[in-house]
Amino acid sequence: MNNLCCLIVLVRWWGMKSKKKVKKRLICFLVNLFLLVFALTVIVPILYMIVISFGENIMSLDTGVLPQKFTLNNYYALFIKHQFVDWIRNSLIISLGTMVLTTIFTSLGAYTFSRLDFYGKKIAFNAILLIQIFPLALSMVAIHQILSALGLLNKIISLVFVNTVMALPGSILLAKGYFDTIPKELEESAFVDGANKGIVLIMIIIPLVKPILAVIAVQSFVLAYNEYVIANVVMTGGFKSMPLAVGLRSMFEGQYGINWPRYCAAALIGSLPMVVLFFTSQRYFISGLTEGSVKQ
Amino acid sequence: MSPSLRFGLEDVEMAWYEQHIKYIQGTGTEKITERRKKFKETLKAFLILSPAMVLIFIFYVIPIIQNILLSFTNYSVMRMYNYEFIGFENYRYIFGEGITGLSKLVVWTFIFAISVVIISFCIATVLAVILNNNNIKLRAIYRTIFIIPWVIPSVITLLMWRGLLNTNYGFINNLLEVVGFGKVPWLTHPVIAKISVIFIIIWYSFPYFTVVALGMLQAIPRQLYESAEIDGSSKLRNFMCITLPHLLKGMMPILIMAFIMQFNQFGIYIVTNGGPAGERLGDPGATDLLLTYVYNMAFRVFRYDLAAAYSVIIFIFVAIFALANMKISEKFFND
Repeated sequence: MNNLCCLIVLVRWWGMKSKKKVKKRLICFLVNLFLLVFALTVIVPILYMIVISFGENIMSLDTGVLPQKFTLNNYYALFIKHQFVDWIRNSLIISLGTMVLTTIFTSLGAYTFSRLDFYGKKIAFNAILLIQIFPLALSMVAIHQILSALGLLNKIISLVFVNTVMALPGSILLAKGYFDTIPKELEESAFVDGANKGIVLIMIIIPLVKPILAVIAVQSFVLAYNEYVIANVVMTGGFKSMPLAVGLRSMFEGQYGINWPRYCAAALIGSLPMVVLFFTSQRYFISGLTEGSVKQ
Repeated sequence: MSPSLRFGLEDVEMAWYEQHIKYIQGTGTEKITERRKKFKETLKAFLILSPAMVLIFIFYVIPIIQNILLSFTNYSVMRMYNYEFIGFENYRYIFGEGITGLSKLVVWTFIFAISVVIISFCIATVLAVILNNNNIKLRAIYRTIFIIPWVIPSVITLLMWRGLLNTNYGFINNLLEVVGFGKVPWLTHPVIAKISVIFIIIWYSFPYFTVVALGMLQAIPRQLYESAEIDGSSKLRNFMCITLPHLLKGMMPILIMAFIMQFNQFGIYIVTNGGPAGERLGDPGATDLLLTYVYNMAFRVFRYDLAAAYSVIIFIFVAIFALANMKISEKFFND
């Protein structure tokens, strides 16, 4: 509080003649302060993780806040002592599989709902609306039973299917709204030229709805990458079969106990796929997201 | 031509037929062709949708039905193979002995969901309005910074905060100690843990709202502000009377969806396991949401039947909200 008063005095002393200008300066200052504090809350934990991941392993950090020595041992240990490569590989397979399946099914489904006029359309659409909202994770016991009955327990493909099903209803809803905004005349002119529906979908519609497909691809990837509950229930085959989310959590409670610097290293490498994906598709992604939500 | 003959017409012939239908009037054939066309489209639609529908059926519909069935049995780790149908016994237990636990869970889940959504929305609105202003320096940098929490996988964020807020070796407590405060039990004190958990979830969910709010702000027509300026309205008034209503109206469906999605929020389990734990085994912990409680019930206490019954109760909750949401959004879209 004292500091703030000092600053106000300072600002006045700076040679501001009129009161209105002082007020304006003060508001500007407060806004910037707010932004700065907010940005620090966001960025400091992440920077801290980066620093710690290169630090020596000091179990009790009583000595201070920052590590004294810097090494690459944490990264080295991650690959030698944990099945980190397996975790990343499993997660990438699951997420990419989910992404591909979801994007294909969504574009087909949204096209069908947006362009075809068929019996039971309304019922099917309402069913999707309802299904989208039910948390699938709730029926984990039943899913475990069903997957073991189908012989899919401990198989990566089962997680791909489950994640696709989780992502699908919401994606179809989102994409359908976007598909509706594409004018029908475009297709009709193509039909006149003798194209069939498949060609029209691939050559004309898909390029136009790229932003929303980018959103759906990224969202389904993220969903599968973060999915923890079902993965934990289904993948019971030990450390080698775990996806990243389950593996990382096992670092916190498990045979190794907590090794904080090593976790930080794992977190940094584990974030890379999503960061890369996000920043490569950012252009489409942001526009698709805002437009999708405005148009919905 | 009898209707059965026309069944096999190709698209081109159908188009020809439609063009010439006006010459054959008064026979009622027009309606029949329309119906044929629709029938054909139905076949096509279900053919296209069938793979997705099969997947959804196997991995969504069947588990939910199976879950409802399980809630009427006594399936647990003691009775893996010889479980039997016991009627409403589980529900009787939940609404009898377990009613205090259930009401606690429901209240906390609601407080959690509402506070996460409302606080995120407030932060998003403020940030979006500030970042939409061209006078702010470093605007691009701030925008990038505020997107970062969204880009990091949420599991990693959650575990990161679990480490940072640890009472003994966490960064926050170390920092406080350097400054001269004592150790704060961020995740082990029942009340403080609740606040920390809300903070963590908001920490990584506000960027999404901010990005959407920014998009909405840019969609508000400029003329509104210009005419308001001519009428001499202040900035605060502009915000209250133009910006906020537009944002709220645009974001309402998203906010309601986000609220419902909090019932699917498993993040808390990753941070606190639902703890600090309750007094007895099977009591809900201080930060247990309905979903994490179901998980603990199934895989810590190994009462699969009770877990299934609790899920059915949550299903009913969610269904009520979903229906309300559909009604509200219909109203919104029709406006």
